[in-house]
Amino acid sequence: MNDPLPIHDPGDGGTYSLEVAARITGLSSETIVHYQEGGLLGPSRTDAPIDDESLRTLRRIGHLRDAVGVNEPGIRLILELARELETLRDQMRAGF
Amino acid sequence: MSTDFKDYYATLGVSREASPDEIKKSFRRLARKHHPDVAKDKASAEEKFKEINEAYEVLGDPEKRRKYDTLGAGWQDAGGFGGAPPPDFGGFPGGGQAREFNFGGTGFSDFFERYFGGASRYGFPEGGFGGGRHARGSDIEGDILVTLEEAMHGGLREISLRSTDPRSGKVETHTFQVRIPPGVTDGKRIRVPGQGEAGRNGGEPGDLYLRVRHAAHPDFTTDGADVFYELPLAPWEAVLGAEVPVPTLDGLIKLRIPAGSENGQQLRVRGRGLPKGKSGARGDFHAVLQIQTPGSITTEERELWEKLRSVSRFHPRAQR
Repeated sequence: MNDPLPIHDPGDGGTYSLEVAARITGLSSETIVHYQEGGLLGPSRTDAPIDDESLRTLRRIGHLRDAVGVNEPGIRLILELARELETLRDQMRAGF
Repeated sequence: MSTDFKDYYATLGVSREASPDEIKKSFRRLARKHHPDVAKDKASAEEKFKEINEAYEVLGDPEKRRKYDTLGAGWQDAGGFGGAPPPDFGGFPGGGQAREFNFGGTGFSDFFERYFGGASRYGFPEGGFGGGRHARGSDIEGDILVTLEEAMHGGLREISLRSTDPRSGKVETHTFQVRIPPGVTDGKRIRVPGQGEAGRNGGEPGDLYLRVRHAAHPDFTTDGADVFYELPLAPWEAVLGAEVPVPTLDGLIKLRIPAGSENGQQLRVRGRGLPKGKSGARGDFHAVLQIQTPGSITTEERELWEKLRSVSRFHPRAQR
């Protein structure tokens, strides 16, 4: 293919080691495990491998913590509300 | 790049008072007519198909339709998209001068992205950082419309991301291609590393997350890798059984309807859904039976139905 545009291949259901996830998110491995075991990545993700969805949540947690100055209970609440909002929007989208 | 107001009602050929059912019917009719797999001129059909889908995304959703109706009425006075969005149209609370992003090639217009994408598409706001500290750029989120054919076979999509710096007004456009993996499900996010907002003071760029939205298909809906099709049946086909042709993503198949089938019953065809990752496994195809009654009948038909009424031992309310 002669197309000069760069191609990004998202892979297929890839997962990341703790070390790689730490490098991408800027959080320490211990912090990631702490958030994971505490259920902040989602109730079904306490011992699941770290995938793109978990990376996204970790980045949000890092941003809320460092840039916005929210503490852990606040982060938990914000993430729960954001998930609920997303679920409701999906239901609204599908419900016609 | 200014975005013209799009009249979604005109796109779907319905009035502003159209009922949800009328909108759905009109969408199905147009989507079938302009579906890229069916139309002769594939390039123009694809464009038209995306326009129809975009209109249906908005008008088919009561909440989005309400917002569209509200905003559409005062559109000429709003001065285009340069100004700030209305207070209830997204943007994460908490302020900060957020950089504006617009997408191209995702299948949703700027209008849609800007006002209906919701708070999360901008990631969390900038601000809060002290000056001079190096910081990674924010992640950016947007929706990408993927047809079921793309979800079936995978494909490449060209995306352009245009960002406007709120302070300098400088506009930058970055264009790249994203591979849509086969079997991508509705709601899944595709992470594109390093294509988010640029980092500050030497920090790394953020990532781009594209949330997959399956384009509404005239015939099929999906749930994960499973595909669903509403199969209309005549009452006698349901009672006596039949063998009917049914469209799937692989083309027509013959489906055997067992005698005594009920309305709403689902007949499953294994392995005829969307692919499940790279394993080669596929979801299932489900035909959802919709028993329909004739709208108008001839005198001869009436006589036969009346005869059936008198001889039938079927009393649907007797067992209550």
